[in-house]
Amino acid sequence: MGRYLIRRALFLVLVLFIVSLVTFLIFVKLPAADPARRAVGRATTPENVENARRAFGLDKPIYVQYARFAKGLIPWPGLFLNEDVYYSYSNFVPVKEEIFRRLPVTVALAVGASIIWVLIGIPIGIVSAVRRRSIADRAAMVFALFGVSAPVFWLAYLFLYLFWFKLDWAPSSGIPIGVSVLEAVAQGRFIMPWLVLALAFAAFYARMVRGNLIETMGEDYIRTARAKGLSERRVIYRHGLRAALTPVVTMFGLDLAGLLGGVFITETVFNLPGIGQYAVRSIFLNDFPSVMGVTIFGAFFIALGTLLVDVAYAFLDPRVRYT
Amino acid sequence: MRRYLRVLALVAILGLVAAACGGDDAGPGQTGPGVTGETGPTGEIQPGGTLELALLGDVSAAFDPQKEYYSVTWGMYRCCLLRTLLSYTGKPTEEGGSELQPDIATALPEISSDGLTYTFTLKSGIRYAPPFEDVEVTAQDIVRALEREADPDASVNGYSFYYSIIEGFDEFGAGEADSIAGVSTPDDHTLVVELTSPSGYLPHLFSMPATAPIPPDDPSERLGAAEGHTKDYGRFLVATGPYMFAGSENLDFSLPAKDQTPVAGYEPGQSIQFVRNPSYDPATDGLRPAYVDGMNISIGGDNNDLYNKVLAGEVDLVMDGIVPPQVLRQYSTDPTLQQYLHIYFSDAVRYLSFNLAMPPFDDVHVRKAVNLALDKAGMRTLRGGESVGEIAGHIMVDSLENDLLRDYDPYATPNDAGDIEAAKAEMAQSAYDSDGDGVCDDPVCENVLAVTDEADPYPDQAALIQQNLEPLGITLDVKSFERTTMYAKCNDPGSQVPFCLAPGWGKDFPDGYTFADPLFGSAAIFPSCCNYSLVGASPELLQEHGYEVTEVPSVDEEIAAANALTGEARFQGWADLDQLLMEEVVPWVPYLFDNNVDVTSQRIVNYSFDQFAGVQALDHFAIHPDAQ
Amino acid sequence: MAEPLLEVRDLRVHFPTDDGLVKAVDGISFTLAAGETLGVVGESGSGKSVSFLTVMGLITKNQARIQGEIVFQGQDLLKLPPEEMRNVRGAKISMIFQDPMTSLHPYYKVGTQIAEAIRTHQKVSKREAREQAVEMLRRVGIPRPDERADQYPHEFSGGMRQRAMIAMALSLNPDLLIADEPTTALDVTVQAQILDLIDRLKQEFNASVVIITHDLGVVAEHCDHIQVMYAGKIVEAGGRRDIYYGAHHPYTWGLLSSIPRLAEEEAHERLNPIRGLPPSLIFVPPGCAFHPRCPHAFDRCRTEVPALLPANGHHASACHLALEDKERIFQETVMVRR
Repeated sequence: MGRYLIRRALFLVLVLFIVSLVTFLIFVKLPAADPARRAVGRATTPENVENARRAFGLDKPIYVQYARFAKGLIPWPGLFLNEDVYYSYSNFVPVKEEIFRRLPVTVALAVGASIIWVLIGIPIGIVSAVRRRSIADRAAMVFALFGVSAPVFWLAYLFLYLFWFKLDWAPSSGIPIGVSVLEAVAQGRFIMPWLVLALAFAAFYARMVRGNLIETMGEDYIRTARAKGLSERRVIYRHGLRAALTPVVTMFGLDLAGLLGGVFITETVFNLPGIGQYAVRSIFLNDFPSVMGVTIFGAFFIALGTLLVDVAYAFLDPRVRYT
Repeated sequence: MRRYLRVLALVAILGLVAAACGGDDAGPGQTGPGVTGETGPTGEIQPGGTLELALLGDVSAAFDPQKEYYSVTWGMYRCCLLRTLLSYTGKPTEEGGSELQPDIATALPEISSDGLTYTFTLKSGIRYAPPFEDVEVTAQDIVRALEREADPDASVNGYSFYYSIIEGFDEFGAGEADSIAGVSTPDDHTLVVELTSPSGYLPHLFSMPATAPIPPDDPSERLGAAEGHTKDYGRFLVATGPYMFAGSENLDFSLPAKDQTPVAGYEPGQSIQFVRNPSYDPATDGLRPAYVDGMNISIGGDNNDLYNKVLAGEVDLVMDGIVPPQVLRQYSTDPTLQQYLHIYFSDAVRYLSFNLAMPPFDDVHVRKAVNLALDKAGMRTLRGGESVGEIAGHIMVDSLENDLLRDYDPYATPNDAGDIEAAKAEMAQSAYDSDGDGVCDDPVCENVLAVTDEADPYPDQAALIQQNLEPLGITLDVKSFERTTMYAKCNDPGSQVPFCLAPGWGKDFPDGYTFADPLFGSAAIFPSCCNYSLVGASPELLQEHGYEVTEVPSVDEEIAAANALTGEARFQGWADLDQLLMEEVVPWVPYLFDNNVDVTSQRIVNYSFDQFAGVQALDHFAIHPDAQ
Repeated sequence: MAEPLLEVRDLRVHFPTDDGLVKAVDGISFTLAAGETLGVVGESGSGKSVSFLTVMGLITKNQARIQGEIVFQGQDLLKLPPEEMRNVRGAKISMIFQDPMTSLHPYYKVGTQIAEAIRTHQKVSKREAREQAVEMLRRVGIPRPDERADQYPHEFSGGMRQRAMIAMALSLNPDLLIADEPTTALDVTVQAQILDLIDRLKQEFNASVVIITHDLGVVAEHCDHIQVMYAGKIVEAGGRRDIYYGAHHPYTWGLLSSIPRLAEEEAHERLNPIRGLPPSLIFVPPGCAFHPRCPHAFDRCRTEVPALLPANGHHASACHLALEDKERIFQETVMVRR
């Protein structure tokens, strides 16, 4: 296991390099606006553009530019997303500072939503699988279809309009000045964002659990369990679910890791100052250092999440062993 | 069974949405006045309260005054944070808002007879906000700001090129001198500025935030409080205006710059908080009422959602938003809401630009014909209707000419819808219309390359323009690009673009120079910026870029002459230039003078528009006493 | 004769499906005495597994229409409420299945799974249950049972897994053990071991055994009585010698003929399958279900369903052929090849 972990850790760094290289090439090669020109705006005298170029390090050859960014990939304090290079073109704030300041919001949003979708999705999936073709099953699958189909931004707007603007049941979007993330959670400002974000996942998980459990319940060892005289309850929960949920656990780890890189749409519509909102804004402003920083950050979490999930799988499924 | 349930669910949801969307439009319980049906803000203006504002996009350079070139930030500097030698009243042009006023200076500067030397006298007793509350503003502090402006790293993205007219400015910036030769301080309250050539707009340069004073700190630190903050002085900004960032008193300049903590009142991308500056003495001012006690600005969000919040009274104003059509309709038609709708000129013009060196637009009659053919009212409708602006009959926005040409429209047509007969009559005089029937019969009029912006509504506008020009025998080959790329192509004579359909231009400060020089001066041709029409291009330049046309009109002399004027004569000089351009050079078809449309919540009983920055004047905002 | 352990009377198990009613078991009756080993032989779809799954209560009224009686130790199991049936299942009657790899839960240790069976039916502590489990593993011949009990199924070989399943099935000392294709997934050499093990344990535990298989060779040595099933019915039943040395049904003859021979001379002979395919259980052929594949079919076979009639003692067959014809054809087609 130890050697496996070391290999995976090295692989993680490799992944970060590849992701950063691809991101870099996209920005360099795609015919988007010249960032110096864009940053300088209308005052495009040659001197101004040159100044901006120099300040952003764009006057150096491409491989030197990339090398500067690559130095910021190494997950070591002082090097990771260092301020010299990862400095936003568009608002002159270090990328690292913004990411870490915004992280609590994204974490609160992701973790809260994940709890909700697990608490909703998995039971629905179980009920659906156990009572196949009943009214409960069909209702659950309609719910699942809706949840998976309803675009997040549409749902978000609908919720805001209906539950805040019209009915005044929920607080409005955003976090007021001076209110900390925890206070905002206590004020209920995250409830609608959690629900909107959780809905699609809950629906997906319900379907997945249902499918997995139905498949598992058709396995031979379920028949054996019944043949032993176990109660149906025990058969479903200890035998069926134990196998059916294992892939769900890994899926969950990956989903959560992915969300920690930024919950783009939900944060933007609800004006929650998280990493997703920062990423969206950086993309629209063609602000390369921020986009690079957020991408690296997200990639790091996903790669780390994949590693953790794979290790966890070894504990969940005894047939899997890593060397 | 499954399908039936799906349809049922869908219908239920649609029904729910329809029910939510219909019904009355009033927002939920508002705490402000006016809800009970009273009309108008009665009651005197009472100071106090805190404004709740929304800003969709963050400021462009974290409040660094040498870098910020964004109108919204300029508005916040002028109203609230920074005083400059000269400033404005924060009102629209018709109420004198475009006229320079003394702010830190005691009066407008004295000008030498040759127009090369300007002398400013500073008021006494103006002090900085905490932690510099014991420090008085002196002339050296202005010099400090100029020196920072000259540093290319500190003023990146800014507008330092304007200050090149100050003797020695560029040399200092290049490191060739250890001070700016043309700037001197005979004593603490006197500043003398010497120019390289007479430029009547010099006073305006000292109204811009780049010249706001920077306090001294340690004597060894040349840039004072800004020392070591080349990239991020804005987060350590020391205010002189009626407000400051919340938490400014906690800034600790005794630490090395790298170790200092940025001011708490600005969280990039999240929020801005202004509180009253305890050092501010209204007696030394006179421009800024500063009624409210504080301002809370939250950054980010969704345009529609924010305007819903305005309707609900949670937000007083969306500073940089675009009013959604249904909200605009509500405010325009509801008598209780009309007083909260504020429309003023934003001092920007939208136009079509001809390349004077590309046929068929090398013929002035063709250019005039296009001016007559364009359906300007239709162009405005495509941008969103009447409220977005006024039809433009000339090039420079009226505030730069003190409204002298307000009614001047040499190519006016009935209802501004274009007059094809008049256009044809003009076209008939062109060399490209050999038979004089008003329709171009030269092949150069076919598939004329026209460049436009790919974002809405420019493609629709391009279609309208094509429609308007067809009867003249001109057909267009329209290509659309992303905005910055479009501007780059229009600016590059090597691209040989005959017709540019989507540019716009706004002033930098209320002086005609900011239009005349960058748009029509020969020095503003590529590699510099923004003279897309190539007015004043030299024969060598035209040849270098492969043009067959060898000569184009120039207005460099007229610009220089107008620029040397001051006072009332200056306004007339720009107006004369505008007329010359419109009637003889005809480089453009201007069609719209943009409006700035604001809606405020019903808490706001006083509103003003700052014509200088082209945004709301927050120092004039007052909150209803019951809502404070 | 003592009261039979298990008596099945006219059992029918029909599954309603979208395509029609699948008559998996269509009227079978048999008895099983205590201490007896019964072999149930047939192709896939003959109803052999379904009938015993129904005996176990693993196929219920919720899934199929069940008629008839299953009387076990004097009680009709079909009339028992589910909770009581669960007490029977695993404790009085237990079942092992074809593929022990998939029949054991991959995520739980083998010892845990056996202990679970024990604790379901007996009030014992975890530790005691585990001790019993280890003991069971020893009795089925697994070396180092204490270590093995803490291993997972995938760490066992095929034969050992089946032994573990047998251990689990016998851990509560059932009166009846049903083995559904216990050797089909195993190597030939291991097959013999497992069947011998079942024999031995049957003696030790004093249980009756049913071996369900498609392979007549398997039942040859280990079963007292043999039942041949086809298309949901029993087509022949009798003692071991009756079947092997005097089968009375054309299907059985086909099965006997198709056993591959390993002896030198016959090694190069072509295999002799029964021609045709098993019938659809929805649209069962009229008359004798086997008639389309039967080389000896005649008119009556097509219209009249033959009843399972004894020829002598315990040997019964469901075929319209006359007894002399049956004996003659048996000699000509089957014995000739032996």
